[in-house]
This record gives sequence, C-alpha cells and structure tokens, in this order.
Amino acid sequence: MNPQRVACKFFVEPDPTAPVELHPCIGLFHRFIQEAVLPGLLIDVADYTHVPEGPGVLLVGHDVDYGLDLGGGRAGLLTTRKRLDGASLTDALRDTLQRGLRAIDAIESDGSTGLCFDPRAVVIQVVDRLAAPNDEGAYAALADEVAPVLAALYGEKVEVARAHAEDSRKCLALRATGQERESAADLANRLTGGEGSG
Amino acid sequence: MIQGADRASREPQFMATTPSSTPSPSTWKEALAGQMDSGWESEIDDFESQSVLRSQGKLDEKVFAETRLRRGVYGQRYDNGKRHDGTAERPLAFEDRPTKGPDTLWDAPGMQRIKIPFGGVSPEQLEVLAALSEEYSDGILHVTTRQDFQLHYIHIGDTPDLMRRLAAVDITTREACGNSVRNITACPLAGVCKTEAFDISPYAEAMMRFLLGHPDVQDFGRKFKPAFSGCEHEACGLVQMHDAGYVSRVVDGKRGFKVVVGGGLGPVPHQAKVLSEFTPEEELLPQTQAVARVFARLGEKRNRGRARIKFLVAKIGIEEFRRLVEEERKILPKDERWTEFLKDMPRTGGDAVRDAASLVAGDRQEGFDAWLATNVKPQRQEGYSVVTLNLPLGDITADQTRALVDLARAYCGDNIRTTVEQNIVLRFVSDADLPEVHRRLDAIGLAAPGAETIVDVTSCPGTDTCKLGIAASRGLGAELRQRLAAKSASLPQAVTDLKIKISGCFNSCGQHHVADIGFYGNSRKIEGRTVPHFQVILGGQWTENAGSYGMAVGSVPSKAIPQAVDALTDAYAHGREGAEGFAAWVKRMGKRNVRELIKPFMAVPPYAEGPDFYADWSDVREFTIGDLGVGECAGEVVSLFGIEVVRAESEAFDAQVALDDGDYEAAEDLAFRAMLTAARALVRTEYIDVTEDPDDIVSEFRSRFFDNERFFDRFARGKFGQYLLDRHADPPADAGRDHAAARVEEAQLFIEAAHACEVRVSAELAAGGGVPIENPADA
Repeated sequence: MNPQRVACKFFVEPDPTAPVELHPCIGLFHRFIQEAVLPGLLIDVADYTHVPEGPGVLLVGHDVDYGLDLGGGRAGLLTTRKRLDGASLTDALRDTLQRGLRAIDAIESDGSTGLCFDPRAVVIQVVDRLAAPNDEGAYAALADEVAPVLAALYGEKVEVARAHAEDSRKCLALRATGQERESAADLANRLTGGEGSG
Repeated sequence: MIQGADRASREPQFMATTPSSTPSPSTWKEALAGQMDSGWESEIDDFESQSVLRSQGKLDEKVFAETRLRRGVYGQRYDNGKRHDGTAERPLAFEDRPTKGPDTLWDAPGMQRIKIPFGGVSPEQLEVLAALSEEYSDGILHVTTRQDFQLHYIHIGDTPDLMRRLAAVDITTREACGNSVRNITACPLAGVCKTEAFDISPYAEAMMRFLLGHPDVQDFGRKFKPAFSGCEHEACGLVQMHDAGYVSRVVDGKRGFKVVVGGGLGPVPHQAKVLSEFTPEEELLPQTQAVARVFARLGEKRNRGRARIKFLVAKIGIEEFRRLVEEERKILPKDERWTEFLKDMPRTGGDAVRDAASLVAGDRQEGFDAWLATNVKPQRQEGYSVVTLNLPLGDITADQTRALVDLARAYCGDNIRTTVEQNIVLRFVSDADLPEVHRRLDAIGLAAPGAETIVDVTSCPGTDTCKLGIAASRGLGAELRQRLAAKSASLPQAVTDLKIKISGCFNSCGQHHVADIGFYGNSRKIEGRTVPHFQVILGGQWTENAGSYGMAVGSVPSKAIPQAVDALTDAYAHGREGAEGFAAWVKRMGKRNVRELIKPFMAVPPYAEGPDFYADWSDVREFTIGDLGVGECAGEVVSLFGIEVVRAESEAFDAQVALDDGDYEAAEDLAFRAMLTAARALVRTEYIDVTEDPDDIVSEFRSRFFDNERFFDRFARGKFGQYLLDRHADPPADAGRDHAAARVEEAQLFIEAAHACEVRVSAELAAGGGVPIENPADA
C-alpha cells in the first residue's frame, strides 16, 4: 500500500468530548512557525474555530499539517502527512506518528494552551481512497502492514480495531490502543530508526 | 435509516481485525478512464501534460499560468515564497523548481475553484467533493459568493486527478478563472419561488453548456459573469451587479428574458443597463453569443483595470452597444444548439422524494421554532419548504457533507443548491418532515438559525488565503457572527433583517456594495505601524436584484468594527421612522450624520495603549500589508503625508455628499481634487516645494511615482494612478451621475493606493533604499 496521505489523531484528555478553547492555539502555532519548533517547512495558520466539529486550528505545512481538530466531536491533534509519493505505508506511518507525538510534546511543554493529550490511543487514517478504499479487504491489509509500527509504538499487547467501518465513504481507519502510560516524547523515541519517508 | 446523521452514529465503531488481500494499486486516470465526457477527459490529460512540461521548464511560465487559471487552479497567499511571520519577512524554503506562473512557486499551496452552475449540486457530487476536500485539501468545502466551491491548500500536482474525479460526476473546473465566462449563477429558489415568472435553472444550465469552451468567449480582456433571476424585485440572482443578467418574463404567453449588461462590483461598481426588455427564449443563446463577440472585439485588452464589459458599455453607451449587438446577431452563423435545448430542456432538479404534507404539532427539538422562523421558506408547491443551512462563513466539513448527503437522499433528493450568501439550501422538504430534518441537521452542527439575517455574515477569503487580501475579512466575519448570534434573541426585528457583507480588499468579492452594512479591508499607518482597517459602506440594496450600491462613510480600525456595528444598528433601531428600511434611513440621515455615528470608533490608540489594534482578527502577528515588514516597527512621529492625506479624505467625503445631493458637477470636481491632494501629499514626501497647480502635481506624481511604477502594487498595478492621469488629461465636458459616481469611487481608491504607496516608500527608506527627501535647506 502506497498512499498519498496518512493521518493520525491523538486525543486530548481527560475528556476529548468536552468543549475546548482553541483560540490560544492560533498564537501557539504562529510561534511554532516563528521559532521553527517543529521540523519541516511550516507555512501558515488557518482558523476554523467557527466550524462545528471542524478542523479547529490548523498549522499548515508543506509536507505535514497539524490540526487541533474537533472532528467527530472529539478534540485531538490530527497530524496529516501529505504527498508521500511512493513511500511505503510503514515508513509513512512511522514518520507521521513521530511528528504527531513530537508536536504533542511541544504543545504540552509550551503550556500556553492548557491542552494535554493521552498518547495511549491513536486513530490512524489512510487518506487515499484509490490506494485504500474503506472496506474489509483493505482494512485487513492495512492492519497487517502497520502491525510492526504499532508494536514498536505500544508493544506487542497493542489492541487494534477498525474505525470508520460504519461508512464506506470515510477514509480507511483503525484505532490502536496501548497498555502502558508513557510520555509522547518517549513514544516518539521508540519509533526512531525507521524514518525513511522524508 | 439515515446513516451518520446523529452524533452517536458518527462515533468510530471498532471491529475485530480480519485478514484479507490488498486492493490493486492504480491511478485515477486509469480508474476513471471513459467515465466522463470525452472532451473533458482529453482536456484534463492535456493539462496534466502541460503541468509536466512546465515542471521540466519546457513551457513558458506565463503560458502555463494562463492554462491553469482557465482550469480554476489559482495561486494562494504566500505563493511567492515570502511570508511575514510577525517578527520579520521570512522566505518559505520550497524546493527550487520551475514556477507555476510569474512569482508563483511550484510547491506553494494553491486554491482550486469548482464551478457549480446555478448552484445545483447532487448528493453524488457532494460525496465526491467531500472526499476531495480530505484527500487534497484541509477537509473543508468552502461555498463562495458566486455559488462555487473552493478547496484551499491544494498542490498543483494533485489538480489533474482532482479534475478527473469531478468530471466523473459531471463537474468541470474549466473557465472557473481566466478571462472567460465564469460560473453562471442563479436564484437558489428558482423553480420553487412564489413570485418567479418561470424556472430559470434549465436556461442557466443550457447557457453554461453552450458557452463552455466556446470560441467566442476565449478572447475577452477580462472575466464575464452572467446571472439569472426569476423575479424582478427580489434579490434573486442579483443581475444588476453582473456583466450580463437575465430576468425571466412571460409576454403574451411566451417565455423570454429581460436582458441587462454592464453591471459589476469591483473597485468601481456599475449598475447594469437594459439591453433588451424582452428577448424570446430562442434568442437567449444567440444574443449572448453576439454580446460576447462585441465584448471580445471592442473590450479593453491591455489595461485590465478597464477591461470588464461595464467599462465598454459605459464608454460607448448602452444604445450603441445594443446596436452593435443587434448587428452582430444578424451575421452570426446559425447554430442548432441555440434552440435544441428548448426541445429537450435540461433536467435541473430532482423529484421530491417525500409526499407533501403539513407540519403538525408534536415533539420538536429545542431551537426548532427559531430555526423555522429564519431558515425555512414555504415553496410555491404546497406542503413543501426550502430549508437553508446557515454555513459559518461558507464552510462545511467533509463529515458534515456526507451526513448532509444522507439526509438529502432521505428528504429532498437531488434538490440541493448553493447560494451566493455562502449557504446551502435543501428544496422540496416536506413540511411534515421539518422537525426530523432539524433534529438531524442539529446533530451535525448545521441547524444554526439566523440564515440570511444579520448573523449570517458573508465574507470573501481575505487575508486567510487570498493574495489580494488586505485585511482579515473572515476573521472579522467570524467575530461579528459570534457576537451577533449571542445577542440575536434581543435584537429588534429591523436589525435582525440587515445584511453584513465583508471583502478583504476593494475588489468586492464579499459583495459589500449590496449589503446594508458592508466593509472592505484597507490599512492606515499610525506612528510608523500599519493598522488594519475596514472602509464602512452603508445602505446597499439587496433587493431589486442588487438595485443600488452603498456609500463609503469612513474607515474604522478592524478591532473597533464590532462597536461601530453596534452604534449603527442601535441608531437605526431607535431612529427609523415606521417601517423605514436601512438604506432609506441612511439616505435620510445623510452621509455627514451617519459618519458621525462611526467617528468615535475611527481613532487608533497608541501602540503602547492598544497593541491589539495593530494585529488583525484571528491573527496574533503584528499587521503588515503584502510582503512588507522591514522597518515598519520603527517609531515615527505622524508624517507630513499623514497630515495632508486627511485633507484628501475630507474632499473625497465632500464629493460623496455632493453626489448624494445630486450636484454631480461638484462631486466630480471634488473627487478630482481629492486625488490631486493625495498625490500632492505623496509628492511632498520627496519634493516639499511642489506647487498646488494641478499640472505641477500631476507632472511630479507621474515622474516620481507612476512612470517608475513606485505607485503600482503587485496586483492592481498602475490602475489607480491612471485614474488621476486620465482625469487630468481628459476632463469631462458634462459630468452626469454615472461619471460623477465613478469619479468618487476612483478618488477613494486613489487615496487608498496613496496610503499603500506611502507605506512601501517608508519601508524602502527605513531599509536604506528609496529616494531621499529633497529638502531646500540642504540645497
């Protein structure tokens, strides 16, 4: 599977369904650009806080977008890796997860937004309906292919389940849940060594 | 059961892993081969080939820019590779590759405009649009003020596949930009309206098919925007502000159209003139073809600022234009398509999927009554209603779109339209289903009441994504929407009924000229810093097909606009006489008195006391315009220019008052003087001894700022400076209303351009460049 886009979403805690004040994130993301806090080319900040259950506040990058996203009524950091152009799914996913976890670490370390995240669970989406239609067969292939990455992240006891199965029009997705509580930075470090999607 | 229509069902559902095989990889080109109009397919293949050639540097950048723009592939803000991050201008380090147009980097994100003729869109098309927004954009579909959809942050490399996927559901992006026929807009109530002569949708569809790619519409100097209305006196299709407008009429039992031409907004708005009181339906297409030929032949080509058809009609007069069109019509070679569509009228609406039935008492969710009052309109067809989705700033998510599709399939079928107020309407909703439709819309965040009221603010993209944006129109729009919604229950009905429309610059994409309260973005330099402002335009007319335009009353700092809106609406609510409308109230009050209402909000506090004024809405960066930034933060005393340009603004204001009083000659003369004063203020930043003789001022302005293009900005180029030069060279012998109104608009724009020029020049000087002031004491 060689999708064009892969995304992962880590949810805020303690309650991702509780209202979240996102306006401080606008300033935070502008600072991220000014101070090059995150790797890669960061371009601009888009404010979608007026949209119910929308993209919230989006830090638009050239290769990656980071969104404090309200989709599905659950607030979290949605990290979208774009234009993968031939990268393997495992490399792409490892890179996306790492970037997402490091962004969480940066947001929490900054402290200005008051947001905290629970990195023990993540929803992974393959945003490419041609390479990965949302059906049973593609899901099985996805789960099989990403198993090593999820094991590296959460250990062998990781629980994996299909998401978005109720609507085949949505992107193919799965939810992975780990057992142990570890920091985002530590989890990101666990994935080091597998970068390759650039 | 409607899928995904309530909150619970949209939560992820988790299932056990079941091994299976991987689907075969492919490309969209292969996957969709033969599944679209063959002509469209071939055009998209060509575009893809041209993209490859350009990416290899084998195609001229200007040629490619024209090609992509004609396919609706726009540039977006910062695509020149520069962005001010709030502290300094920084390069955006995109890969060094051939550009996709002059000053437009290949990898920089862009915008894709998607034409939706007459706003008609099907559930199947919406599903594809939702998918595209996720796979190529940011998950948002944006409805524009011309019934299009736009996707932002698109990479040029994704556009051919995006177009293929659209074409496979009968949507084209061809001529969504470029100097051609843009989306054909129409009243979203066409076919269900109680006051229309007949449903104009099939005619709009036929015209779109006929003109798309037609050889006679490929050689315009500028774009051409048509619109259709079913009624004369409602807002309907807003034909009076369009390049060409068609109002349905039945005369002696025969269908036809009143046809108007030469309207338009933009920096200098024009009301369209009547070309024909009645054009029979079989003459609709050939007459439009003749108009296109005359426009292509005689319209301005070199000066983009004067290239819209409104300038041609104004220049030669509607009588001469009509004569030319009639002459052209006589020599047109016959085309079967002119009347073919009448025999088999295009199908532009679906069937109702539910029986008509009355709304009955019963369980209703909280908020239903408020929603019913503002978002539901009874149709001509008894037992059915039109439901308006009040989209915030025209935005809808992919998830919402899919849930909406399910709802539409269950309750209204294909009867979905986008609107120029950046909303979506569902037609043929059975009245009995309204409570359930409301419940399902509420579950997906699409049941906000207040559609088409003061809460339902319209805004162009502004500085969020548009290269031309000066101020954050969407940021202001979101702020006003939130504040007004919070107090909507306590607003008097007369205030609730008002419309607010915002443009990020003078180009009027937010349609501020036809709002009760309109704004367009500009800026002012205060103490050496640039402060975002909005010019306040009051009293535009939405009804009568956008029958008249509002007047500029003054520029207010962005952060004070909410208070200015409160002051205006309070004064109107308390001061209106009987059922007096806002435009009539503004007219009765007079510009001077209305300006007094906003005057308390026009002052900008010093930076130390109000730093918030120096940033725009939804943006924490210190405000800049364009790519400026160098030296802007240096503290300065109020400049000579700042003092003198106030006089120009005052003269421009007096010109507007004179225009309002019907003294056109004085208005025209004052407007010219305002331009001279602003030009002199600019000249005096370098040459303090310039006289007040108009010849001297114009000569100095030309040599110091115009001929060397220092007055030019990246987009308008020298358009606004040319206003002064043209007027000085060719004073009107007899200033009628149209001339005077145009001159007043020109003066306003010239002054704005002078402000912008002074900011640029100051930055140059601060950076060590530019031209030093010639001080006689140093001589």
